Order: sequence, then C-alpha cells, then structure tokens
Amino acid sequence: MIDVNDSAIVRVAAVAPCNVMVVDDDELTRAKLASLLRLAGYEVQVASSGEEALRVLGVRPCHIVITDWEMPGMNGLALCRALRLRDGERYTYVLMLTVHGDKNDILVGLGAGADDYLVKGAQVEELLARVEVGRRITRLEHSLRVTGEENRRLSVTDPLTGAQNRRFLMKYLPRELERSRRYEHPLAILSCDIDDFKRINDGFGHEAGDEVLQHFMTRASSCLREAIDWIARSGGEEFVVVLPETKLVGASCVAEKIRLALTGQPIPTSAGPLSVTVSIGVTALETVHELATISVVELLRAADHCLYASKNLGRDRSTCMRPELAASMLSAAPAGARNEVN
Amino acid sequence: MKSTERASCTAIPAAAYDEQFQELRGVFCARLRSDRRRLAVLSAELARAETNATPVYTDIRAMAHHLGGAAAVFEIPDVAELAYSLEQAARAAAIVHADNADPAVWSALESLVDLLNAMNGEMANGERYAQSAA
Repeated sequence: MIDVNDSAIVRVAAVAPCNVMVVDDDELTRAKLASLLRLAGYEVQVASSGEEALRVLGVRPCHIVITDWEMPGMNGLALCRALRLRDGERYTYVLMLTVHGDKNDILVGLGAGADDYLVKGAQVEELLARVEVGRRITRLEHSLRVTGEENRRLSVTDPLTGAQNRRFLMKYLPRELERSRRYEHPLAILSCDIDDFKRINDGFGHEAGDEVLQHFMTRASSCLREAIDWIARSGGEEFVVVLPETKLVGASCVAEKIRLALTGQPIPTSAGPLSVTVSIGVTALETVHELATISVVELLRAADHCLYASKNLGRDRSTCMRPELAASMLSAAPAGARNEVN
Repeated sequence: MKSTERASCTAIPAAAYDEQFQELRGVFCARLRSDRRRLAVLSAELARAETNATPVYTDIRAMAHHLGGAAAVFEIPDVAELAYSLEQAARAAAIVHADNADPAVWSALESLVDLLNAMNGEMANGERYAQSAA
C-alpha cells in the first residue's frame, strides 16, 4: 500500500478545518488511517462500528467518513444508507474502504450511498487524493448551501431595513392565521405608516428618508417579542407588525410603545436630527367566529382602515378596532377617504 | 486565500511518515503471530468438523477477511492476497455447505499459515518483515 521511498506524500491540510471519521472494526487499521490523515492535516475521529459512528456523528458531525464494509453490527452499507437519510442538514462524503474489490461490490457500495470506493491495499497517495476530493466536494457543498440559505433569506428580506418583505408577509401571515385558527388563539396586526414621509424625502433627501425607515425598524423591533412577533415592510413607508397570541388590548399597548419609541427622540440622519411620527392601525382576531370567517386580506384591510382613521384624526396616533367594526366604518366613510392618507 | 492554500499544500516528509508508522507496523507484525495461532486453531476445528463444517468455514472467512484487510492497510500484500484467497474459498465452501475437506480452503489455509510461519521465522531473526517496518 505504501511506497514513500523518495517522493513525499502530499499533505492536504484543509483551508478550513476538515473532519474525517475512520470507521473500521480493526483497531490497528483505525490507528494507522487516523495517524495518516492527521499527518495530512485532517482532524480525525474514529469509530469501530456503524452504530458507534452514527452516535459520534450525532454529537460531532464531520465532513468525510471513511468506512469499512464488513463490521460487526451495523456494516458499512447500512451506515451509508443511514448517513444519506441525514443529508438534509449537512452532506457527509462517504469513502468506502474495503477488501471487497469486485465490480459488483463497488456497484453495491456506491448504490448504498458511498461517494467513492477504494479497495484496501491502494497506495497511500491515492487514498489521500481521494480524501482530498471529498474535502473539495464537501467545501463546495457547504458554500452552495450557505449561498442558497442567503438567497432564501434575501428573497424574503427588505435589504434597506432588514424587515421581512411583502412576499414574506403574504406567505407567512396566512400561516400565522392558520395556526391561530387551529389553536383558537388570538392574532393581532398593526399597520404602520410613517407620517409625512414624502415631505421627509423631498425636504431632506432620500438618504435621510432611508435612515428614517431604518430607525423605525430598529425602534419598532425593540418593542416586540423576539422570535414571536415580526415586522414586514409592506410598501414604501408602510410596515405591518404581526403579533401572534395577542388580543386587541395587548396590540394597542404595543402600537403605543412603537409610536412613542419613534416620536420620543429625534432620528439622527445625515440631514440632521428629524422628528418623525407614525400613524398606526390596530386590529385583532379574538373570537372563534372572527378566526373562522375573516381572511388574511380582510384582516390587512381592517388594519388599514384603522390606519386611515389615525391619519384622518390628525396622525401620530394609533386606532384600534375589531375587524368587523373597521369594515363597517370604512363602508360608511366618504368616498376618497383612503386617498387622504399621508 | 491563495497563499494559504499554497502554504497548506506542504508535504509529509517520508522520514516523518516512517517514524509515525514504524511502531504501528511493529504491533501489526506482532499480531500476525496470534493470527497464525488462531488460524491453526481454526484448521484443527475444521479437521474435526466432520458433520457440519459450515460454521467453521464462516469463522475462517471472517478471520481471513479481517486479516486480509489489515494486511493490505499495513502494506503486506502477499499476506493480503493469500488471506483474500482463503476468504473467497471459505465463503464458497460455506455457501454450498461443503464437507470439511474442501480442497480450495485447505490449500489456501496451508499457504497462508506457511507464509505466516515463514514471516514469523524472519521476524524472529529480525529479517525482512521487521526490517521493512523501518
């Protein structure tokens, strides 16, 4: 297997740490492979069976598994299959290293989920080269996964404020409503609109306008429960705050906190400190009847109706109404009232 | 990034490699002596298994598999090859429930034991196999 007379063995230390697990029931084989891999710059852990490998991997995942085929208990094939079931979280590259060298054995090994197959007795250089292939592939897979996650995050995030975007709102608000329906728990939303935003943009520039939006997001977020409530930027200067498990009274308190958080201190901008106010419409689904009959669109519309009421009453305030009342009030409002907002 | 990549692709000096594995290989060669004794025991069991030799063939196959894999990893190809032949012969004999006189198994068994005996003698004299570890 080894011929290192004159040529040195290429050492492939991973740029990022690369963990390799050696699974073999033979203690000396494990020791030798582990020493070799450590010399080559890999971090190594060992296991003597498939069961032990899975147990250790559950605690400390690794990038590459080099496994024997025949082992007492769970063999290498079963280990491969079990690892493939875990690929959702992180891909584990599997190199099967065994004495089984028939073509059919190789097909069976690869069919069980091994990425590569090497017969024991191959040169050390070949083993290390193949492990390096595994390191490259797992690194690429990791980078692909990170990029995918980042793309997913960006696709539902407003880049300016970091709030969720409208796409997220229209995807996850229905889910919140479904959950509230299932458990018959209340659900409140706030429709927020920064007052006179056009005047800020026109008078102080878009940069200042952007800074106002960012500060609104920061201050509003500080008034919410972490990992429960969330904010989406639904339009230019419009935000929707979603408050699961919250009744109208509680939502009204949150709305006032947000309003005061914004108006309490001028916002520092590149055009100087600006006093900014916000109008908020608050509504909530509380009863089983409301939960069962009011749709997401109707809920958003009700919050908007309350928002219009706040605007029409002079801005810098919050208005709370149950959805059905908000709907009936809007139907009674004069035509064009909606256009008076802002 | 680039320089890190280049710097990380250094080489394991052959001397470091030898130093690292000399001891492990010595342990493996010592283990070959107990493997030889185990094969002798299995030979005796096979000779006695006149009614049902299949369990002994199964044990021989497992033993040969284990020995062959380790020998391959420890770069003793002649042991690895003979162990592989024995494994194959014992597997075939177990499948067809051959009697205890399967010629392929006995031939492979004797070849392997002879080789281990020879190695044992050489190792005792500090020759080939022990030397090759250095």
